[in-house]
Amino acid sequence: MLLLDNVSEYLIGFTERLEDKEIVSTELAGKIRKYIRKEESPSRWHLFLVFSGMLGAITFSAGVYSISSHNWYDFPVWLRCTLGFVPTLAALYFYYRMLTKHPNSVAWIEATSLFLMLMIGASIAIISQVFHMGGDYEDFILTLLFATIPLFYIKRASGIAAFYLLLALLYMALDIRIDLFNGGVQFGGNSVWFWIFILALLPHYYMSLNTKSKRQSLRFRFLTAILYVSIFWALMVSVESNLLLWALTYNVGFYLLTQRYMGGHFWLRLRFMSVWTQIAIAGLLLLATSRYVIMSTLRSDSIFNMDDWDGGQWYYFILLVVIMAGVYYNYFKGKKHFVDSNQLIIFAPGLIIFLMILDFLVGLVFDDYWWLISLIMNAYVFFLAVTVMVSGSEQGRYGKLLYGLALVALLVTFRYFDVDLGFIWKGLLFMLFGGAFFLINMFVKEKVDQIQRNKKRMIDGK
Amino acid sequence: MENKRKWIFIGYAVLVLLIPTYMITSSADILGNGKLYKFRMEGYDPFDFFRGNYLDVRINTDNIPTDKEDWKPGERVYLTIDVGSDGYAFFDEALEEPPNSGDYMVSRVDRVNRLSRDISSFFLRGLLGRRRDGRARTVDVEMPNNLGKYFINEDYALDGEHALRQRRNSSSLYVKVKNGNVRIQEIYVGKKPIMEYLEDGGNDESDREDIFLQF
Repeated sequence: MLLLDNVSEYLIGFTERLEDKEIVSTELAGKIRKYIRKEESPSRWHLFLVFSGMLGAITFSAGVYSISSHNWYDFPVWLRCTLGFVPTLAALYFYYRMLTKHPNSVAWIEATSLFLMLMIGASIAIISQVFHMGGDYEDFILTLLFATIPLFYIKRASGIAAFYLLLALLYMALDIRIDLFNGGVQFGGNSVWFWIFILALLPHYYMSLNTKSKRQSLRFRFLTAILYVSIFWALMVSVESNLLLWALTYNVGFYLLTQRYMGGHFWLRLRFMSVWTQIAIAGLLLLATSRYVIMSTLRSDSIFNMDDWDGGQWYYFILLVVIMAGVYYNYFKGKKHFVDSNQLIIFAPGLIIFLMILDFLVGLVFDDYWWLISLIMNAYVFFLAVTVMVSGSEQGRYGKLLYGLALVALLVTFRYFDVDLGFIWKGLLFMLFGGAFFLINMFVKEKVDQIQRNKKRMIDGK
Repeated sequence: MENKRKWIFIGYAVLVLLIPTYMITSSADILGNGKLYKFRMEGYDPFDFFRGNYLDVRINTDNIPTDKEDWKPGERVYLTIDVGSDGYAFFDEALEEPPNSGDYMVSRVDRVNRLSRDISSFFLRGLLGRRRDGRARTVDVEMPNNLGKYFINEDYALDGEHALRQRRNSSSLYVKVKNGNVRIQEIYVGKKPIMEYLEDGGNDESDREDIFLQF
């Protein structure tokens, strides 16, 4: 197995220290260093080659676009049309060269794929300039997106996925119509195309997944991150109902995916998607503790207001149910893989559904009862924060401990300013919270003291 | 390179090269066989990141009569074309479907006007509840596809904008239309194509006549 970057450097230094302190012999230390170097991963250098190759492709393409922008109107039309083919032909040549001479070089694959994508765009730009085909950016982007899809599959290029998704998002955004009079946002047909482009990328994404491991390649992690951001953005602007449930379900889906297939990475930066989805879910729940969100989003979105929904809201509700079913089917099917996962995070959408039902049932008897929903929501977030802190303490993960503490701190801050209680009750409540923090502090202090005692004992050789 | 991948690459290369080929052949067909129309126009000079400078062509796309009442912003619209007694073309009607006969252009709805900008019809509507031409509504549309940009050399872009401002009343946009597809043929300033006009330093024999006519 290849060693992780940075680890090898640390181990080399460590052997030198062992050698200096004469714990191992010089000969043995040399052998260990040789072995470490042999197992060292060159991935960082490969990554540099990929980035520099892609940057070269972008910069060179920018030059081509600039030269063609000059508008060589005094050349005959036939010559300008012929020149319009040159960028694509040149890029196809380099792509062909990659296929024949460097089929296994990731840097060549990524750079030539990106170059080809951009040069197809340059050819379209030149020809449309010759015939004054202003058209609009939408046609241009649509054509470019279609032309890019095969590049994901011919040699499995992934760097272009970032540009591809950026263009797909731009294509969707160009179709947003804001109705100033009615205050609504409407989409034309572009949002449908966005999802088709996402579907076109998904097989490539799935092929990058190592289903037998909990550690994934850089390609998969990169694709996961950009897909997460793109789809999340698109969902938040296009979904017409149950926005909170959508956001929670979506994050739970990605959380489970990262826990299932990316949970084996040692470094935090390699598990960042798992961390980020947890933070996103906690943030959404925190948001849902406010009275405004409960009264507006939660209630207007409630499944008990179905009578008021229009066709679009129904469509997104049914889609949500299907996606939720898929997420939880996968969870229960592969439950053994999620033993370390936080159940409060996973079932956060369930809480929202429960609160909607509770809101409806209590509403049959009482009039003003939003505080009950708020109380449960606050208790849930508080309990989530406490479990995170306890788990962080048990696992010795300082970051996790800090994350739980930050969640409680934010919850307390929000409630201090918006809680609808008399000053005395409010004061007592917050003194209670303060006392709880002191207790937590005492427990952690004890743990720190224990670590220091152990360390001292080791140094003294006891 | 394995044989299968080689053929996939060849197929892809052909498809990719078909994009500019289609753009050229369709443009040549419209410019060669389409019907010529002349529009009154205005223009100014913005910049396209991918294609350089262009004159942003503006023709009148507001207050187009329509019978349909429930247009939505962004909805596709088909515009029939008619030619006035002065020889200039204008949009006659906004339709939901392409017309059975006659030329048309494709655009999108920008705004539905429930109140006409025409003052006389404003008062008449109070009496009759309809516009003078018998239609209850008009619609503003976006510039039809491929009609909004005239790409121009960077050295002439600013002069082109000035020329179009100064010669607003004698600038014309010549377009070719075929089966709803449009290509700009040329912009004329007076009687000269705009590039010829700019290369000549803005001198046009018809200048004096036009100015005289304006007065």
